[in-house]
Amino acid sequence: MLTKIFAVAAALLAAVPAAAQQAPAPGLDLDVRPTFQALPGGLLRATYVVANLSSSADSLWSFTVDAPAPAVSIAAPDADRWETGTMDHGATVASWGILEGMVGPGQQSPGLSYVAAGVPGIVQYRAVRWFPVPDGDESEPDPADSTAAPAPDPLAANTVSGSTVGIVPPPAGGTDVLAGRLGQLVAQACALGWIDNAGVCNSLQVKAVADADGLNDMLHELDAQRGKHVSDAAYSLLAGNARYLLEQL
Amino acid sequence: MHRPWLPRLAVLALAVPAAACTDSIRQSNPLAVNSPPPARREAGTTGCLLSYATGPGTGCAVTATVSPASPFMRQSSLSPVQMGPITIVFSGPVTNVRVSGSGAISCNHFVGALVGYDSAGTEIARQDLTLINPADCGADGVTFGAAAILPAGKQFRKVVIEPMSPFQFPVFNLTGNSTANYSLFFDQAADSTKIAFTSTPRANMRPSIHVSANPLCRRLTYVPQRRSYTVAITRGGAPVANTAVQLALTAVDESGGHVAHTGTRPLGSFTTGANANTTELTVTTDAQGRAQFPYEAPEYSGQYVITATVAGTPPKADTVTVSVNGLADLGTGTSWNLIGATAVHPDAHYGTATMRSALVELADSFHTRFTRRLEYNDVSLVQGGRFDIDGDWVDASHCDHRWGQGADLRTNDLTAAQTNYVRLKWARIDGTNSYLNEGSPVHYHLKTSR
Repeated sequence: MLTKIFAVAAALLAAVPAAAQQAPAPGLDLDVRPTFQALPGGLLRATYVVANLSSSADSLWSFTVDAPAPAVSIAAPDADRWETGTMDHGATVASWGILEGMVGPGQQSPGLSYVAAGVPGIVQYRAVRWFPVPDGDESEPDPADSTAAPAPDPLAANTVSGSTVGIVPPPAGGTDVLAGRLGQLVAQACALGWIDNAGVCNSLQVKAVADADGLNDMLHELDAQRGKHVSDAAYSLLAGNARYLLEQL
Repeated sequence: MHRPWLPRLAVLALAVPAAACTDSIRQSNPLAVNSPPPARREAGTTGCLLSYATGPGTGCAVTATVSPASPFMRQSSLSPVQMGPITIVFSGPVTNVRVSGSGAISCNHFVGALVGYDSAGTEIARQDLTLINPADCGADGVTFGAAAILPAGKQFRKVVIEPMSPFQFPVFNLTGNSTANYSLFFDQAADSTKIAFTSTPRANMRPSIHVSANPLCRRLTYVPQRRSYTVAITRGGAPVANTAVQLALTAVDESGGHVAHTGTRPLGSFTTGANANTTELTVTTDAQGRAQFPYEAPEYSGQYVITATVAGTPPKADTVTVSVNGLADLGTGTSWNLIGATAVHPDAHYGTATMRSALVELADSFHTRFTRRLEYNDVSLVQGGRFDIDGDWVDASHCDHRWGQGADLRTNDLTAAQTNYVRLKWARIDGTNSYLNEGSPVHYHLKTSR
């Protein structure tokens, strides 16, 4: 069974686009800690605390998570210091940027929250270190010239990305489908290293069924392992979806 | 002074004894009181004339080939005898064709016809000749000449003067002989010679890029934008080979948003190459009446005029629009100010749809948060292309203001929080956004990838 779980996890990991995987940080070493709060009306509040670890060389400037379930509200922890956005390159996101007083190494952000209608799901985040505005180079080739190399994007060179837990639209399908999805999320969490023990992975996988007893057992195990072999991200992802499935039974 | 009675004496000369003839004619028709039309050009025409009196030259750009060539423009049963039709083929289309005869012809028989043909050889008009002055006929039934006019508004490439019939006829119990010496009047058709341009491709051209020594533009390489032109010369629809065509380049004043510049405006070139600057060229048409030449666009957008001139023909011009298509004016708004207008570039806030939308979104959000307007300086000129700030066709510091995808934002009076806000917002808005820190006064150069 353990072998089977790792095989599934490896296959899922291989399917994740390269850009969505943890990239080498240009001076940023982050720990992204998501938590979720259920709200009335099927809404969910996601809150991120982004720790800029002391191993970082640079300050955190902005943090963005994809929001497949579009944000219905987003909060800046300090309106004078932070700004927010919900669209990025035409895609729905939840984004927070710091205007003054960057989050330096060894510091962490206040809670960065947004609300959307959905359930926890795996999403990508992007964090940008603060960098000075590049000096001028206006030599832009003709954009109609397909052979011309595009100008480098200084933003991309100062961005790190990775996976975290965000809010995705409520999944469609019956309880068996939802249970299957929950099993896949367990496998993904294990593959991402959010659950660092194969035995726990196996145990959670067998509890991901359309059965109240199994799901309650899963929630108990998640509570017991949170902060041990189950990270905050994995806990938020799996507990949120287990509760959602319980509500559908 | 024309003396019409002299040919009328001759008409009978070979047919009857001289004494009897002259007496007879003098008695029956003492004097022809009307003269035949003079062989001269008339006012209001382009003055082409082909006449027995003046020979094969027409006096205008259209030439004519007459058959038979000798006797020239004559039909007669007297020596030199020529009783067949006279065929006149023109080198180009002609209009307003009129023929007039001079000699001695019967008043009582068919006196000929004038027939017109188009360039395909199809008969398109026919007109019988009629006596110029029937009152001149008298008792002898002889008069000096007949004339005909082909319908106006048609263009002819060939006319035929069909002969009178019969040539010989009775005159006072004698045999008369007909003689007609013709003059043919016509006008050169307005489009006798045509100059036509064709080009590939036909749509607007993008401006070329040249290498710049400006350090801000160090990534620019020579990227020419070229068009292949064909100039075709026809006359009456037929190609004109081996003809010199003079080509010249000019620019429409103030086109492309460049006003009152100093120096010499680059016009592009009829030859290719990074340093090519051929603005005058002579080409020669081939057997198909065509000549090809290239045109390489300048870096500066605007309207450029290629003028082709062929001797004796009005020049033909083709206007080439060098432009970055799809640019539009950012216009005024409640959350931004437009700055930077100058006498040499009074209108410099044209951008792509992506850029305009991004600038509006940035300014609106900035205004909402900080209750102040952003100040947008140069974007691009009305049709894009190289933007010489100094208005001298030389300055190159604005090298990313060509495509409507680069805009300057004044930042020297913004706080650190405000500049960070601009950067964060701009990074999210669209495309591969970027920004550069530039110059004096300090400003950001905002870029979009589309």
